[in-house]
Amino acid sequence: MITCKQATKFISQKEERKLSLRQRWQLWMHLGVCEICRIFQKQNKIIIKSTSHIHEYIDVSLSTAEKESIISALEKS
Amino acid sequence: MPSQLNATKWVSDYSDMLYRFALPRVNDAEIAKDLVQDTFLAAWRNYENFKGEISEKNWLYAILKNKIIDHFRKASTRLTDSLPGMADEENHFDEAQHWTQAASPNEWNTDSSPIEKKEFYEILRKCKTKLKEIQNTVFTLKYLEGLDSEEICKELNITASNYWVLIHRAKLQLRACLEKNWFIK
Repeated sequence: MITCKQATKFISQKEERKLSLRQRWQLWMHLGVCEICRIFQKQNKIIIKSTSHIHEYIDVSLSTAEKESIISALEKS
Repeated sequence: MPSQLNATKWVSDYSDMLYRFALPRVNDAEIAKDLVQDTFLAAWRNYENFKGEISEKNWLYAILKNKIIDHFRKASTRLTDSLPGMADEENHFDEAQHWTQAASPNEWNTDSSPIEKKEFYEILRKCKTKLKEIQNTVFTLKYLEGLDSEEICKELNITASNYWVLIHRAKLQLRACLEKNWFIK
């Protein structure tokens, strides 16, 4: 049986590439008995999905002075 | 200077949008501001190349994306110096390689209102700033810019095994930080 440390590595890698048949089997066996790693797998997906939308939600802006300095850089160029 | 362009209008229309895009990627307000200004300057000087096949907004986004990747590429020489000695200092696992009690993931309450959603993203951004710079670089290129792992290794001149360690630790750390600051209150 693989360890939690190993299982989380497989979970991370699975998001980007296909695991080998052996690795998939090992992960499946581990997840069958380990609730914590199942939670990790679910949360990992949430993090990845949210991350790509981050700029749509965050609330930051440049100050008027900062904008003016960009405008003057543009006008000078 | 292209006569049909109005600098004030451009900056007022697009600067906040570009800044919001750059900041959560580079994690540093000064660098993000510089990237936004460089983007405007590059667009301004090359306006005759803008063919209108995509919107002005998407054209500016594309320039900014290139500038961000450039920024990471330039920074990577400095960042990868410390790679070989990377210790596994985060302690998510015990000697038996099981989750430590303190680091064990707990179920999250994920039904949140739109206002809470905004708060969540703000915390996600803050958690991201706590990553080591090289972890953030790899994570950003992968999950915000959508590069694949081979491209990232090539851009940053790191090995595949470095890549997997960095991206995995970034995820472990972000997860722990989100849980601590958002989901468990």
